Amino acid sequence: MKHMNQKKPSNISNISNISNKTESKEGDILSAITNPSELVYEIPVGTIPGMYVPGRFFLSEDLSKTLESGAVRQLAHVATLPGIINYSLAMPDIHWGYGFPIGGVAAFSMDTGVISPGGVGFDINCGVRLISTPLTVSDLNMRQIIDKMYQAIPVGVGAKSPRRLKKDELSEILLSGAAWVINEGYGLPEDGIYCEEKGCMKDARLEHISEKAFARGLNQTGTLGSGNHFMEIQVVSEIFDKEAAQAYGICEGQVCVMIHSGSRGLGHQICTDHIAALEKASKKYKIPLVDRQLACAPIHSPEGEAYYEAMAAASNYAWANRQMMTHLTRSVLADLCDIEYQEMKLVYDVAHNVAKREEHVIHGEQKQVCVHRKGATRAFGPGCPDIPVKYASIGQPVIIPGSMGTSSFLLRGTAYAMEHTFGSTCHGAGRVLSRSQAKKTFTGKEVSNSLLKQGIIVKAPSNDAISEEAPGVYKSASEVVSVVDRLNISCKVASLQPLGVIKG
Amino acid sequence: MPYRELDHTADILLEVTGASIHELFCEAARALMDILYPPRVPSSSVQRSHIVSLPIEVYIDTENEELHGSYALYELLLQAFLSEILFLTETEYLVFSSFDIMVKKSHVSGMGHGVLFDEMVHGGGIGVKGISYSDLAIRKKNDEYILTIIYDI
Repeated sequence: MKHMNQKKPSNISNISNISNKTESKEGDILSAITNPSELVYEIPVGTIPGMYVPGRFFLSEDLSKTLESGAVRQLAHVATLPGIINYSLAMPDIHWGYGFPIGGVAAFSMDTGVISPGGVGFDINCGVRLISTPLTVSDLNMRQIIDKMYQAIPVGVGAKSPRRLKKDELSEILLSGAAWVINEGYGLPEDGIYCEEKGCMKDARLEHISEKAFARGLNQTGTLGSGNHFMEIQVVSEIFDKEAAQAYGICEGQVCVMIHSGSRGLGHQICTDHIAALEKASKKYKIPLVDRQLACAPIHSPEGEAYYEAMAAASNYAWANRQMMTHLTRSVLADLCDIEYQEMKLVYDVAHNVAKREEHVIHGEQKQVCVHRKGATRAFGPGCPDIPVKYASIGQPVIIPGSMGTSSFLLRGTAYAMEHTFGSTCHGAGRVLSRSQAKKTFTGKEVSNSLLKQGIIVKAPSNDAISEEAPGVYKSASEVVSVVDRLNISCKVASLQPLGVIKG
Repeated sequence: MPYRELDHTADILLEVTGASIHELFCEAARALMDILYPPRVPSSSVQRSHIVSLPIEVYIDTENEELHGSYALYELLLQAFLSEILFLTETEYLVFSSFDIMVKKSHVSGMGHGVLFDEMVHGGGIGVKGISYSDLAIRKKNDEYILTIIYDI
């Protein structure tokens, strides 16, 4: 334990710079926050009515300046859900979302607990993958690569897949995930091994997926999406843990590719459909809801099982989607940089919006629980059976994107995370400015020019897409990562500096 | 202005106003279109022959619905209506510009009109992933209906 030098809990209500971005009724919730140990903050049971467990979140002093009352309120809301175990948790990139806060983690008892789409989000299995290459910066004509990538990968609203699927093909993807895409020739045979869940949640079923969800999925495999989704060419700028970096096949000066996307319209539709169904189920099972977006049902109820199986299918679609974009990326780099397709290895692919049935030690006993991660990343430590054999002694790779002007990070999961956060860590930098504030503060051209001066080329469908994702709208990813590293819920392995960015 | 963006760190929080519930529904849908497809060409300049129309039918099951607030049913109906618009625009590639709809207690029906998506004209917007129930509220102030709603992006 790096940080747990226990000290007397102190009340932090006098920290005046916590951002009170929601209505005045939220003022009280901030005064309930205590600081039981360094980097650890809590809100006790009773902060709002109906809490079963305390809320616990992790922040440095710097990050506490951007904490929003709305996010703390949402953390408390999660603590009111039946069957929640130990804590309603949030990682250092906590911010105000809907349902769960972004950065939220909660595990639920399989017997008494619930499953909620509000703990996953609309973008089921939004996630990140990292691909290594044998290239160094001097091998790259970055403008040419970004232009070609932009042509190859459909980006933004209205973009269509390079391959329109037939319904039976989509069904196969929903059941088998990345494997179907790889078998079709869009990947390397071993790619599936280097995805969380090996790129396929086996519990996926088609029965509870609507025709609307199918319709949205047919034309979007291999599309990036928009908003904070991106494809980035990066260079490994620093190694913090040589042994882990070596195991992950990463070295300083090496060019890598990071892809951030999710399950696109298909996943969004599944979430929409099942929230409506679970809202009714909440009433049926007499589960009081403090926020309708936390609609839920007992895990083993027909409604809970239906959502879980459909969510698993959407997760599989997301892995297939990122796999297809990996193929397009490899094809462009192989074509332009005189390297072989198979020289570009998938380091790992992580999901950061998902609910999964996992084994954890609960009060000294190994148990299956349902872990929700909404804007949080699995960070399984060494020896966990669910991570690739090659990484067994190191822990799973954890991929944390920065902003388009700041470093991303590769970390490794830890045994400490298994004990204290249900094997979870942060997922990114976390926003501090709304999109409207961003557009008032920055113009797309200014941001592009400023990044160009730093040697970073950005391409996006519009200038607004660039200004809304300006580096200044995000917290410092390095500060967020520093907190999880100090907490030992994941440890820094390498940092990656952006060279070229495609935003959706 | 029928809608304005309020501060929300991760997503888009809107305040929409309308003289009637019907107008509120139409304005919320137009706001959704403006996010997805930032307006570059005035809709009045689109040739009539290019207009495409689609039927819109949305029902919500109000049985066993416990209603917390005067407009709770309309909030549920609006969420369902906007989710349908999102589905239609994404699968039919139709950029809606106007709506001829009737809003009843648990039912919206009518037509949406617009033009087919053209990357050069409509590209560069932000994808909306879903219509959140969180903080969804309709209230009436003086003679005006006011909606707050979060679009997940």
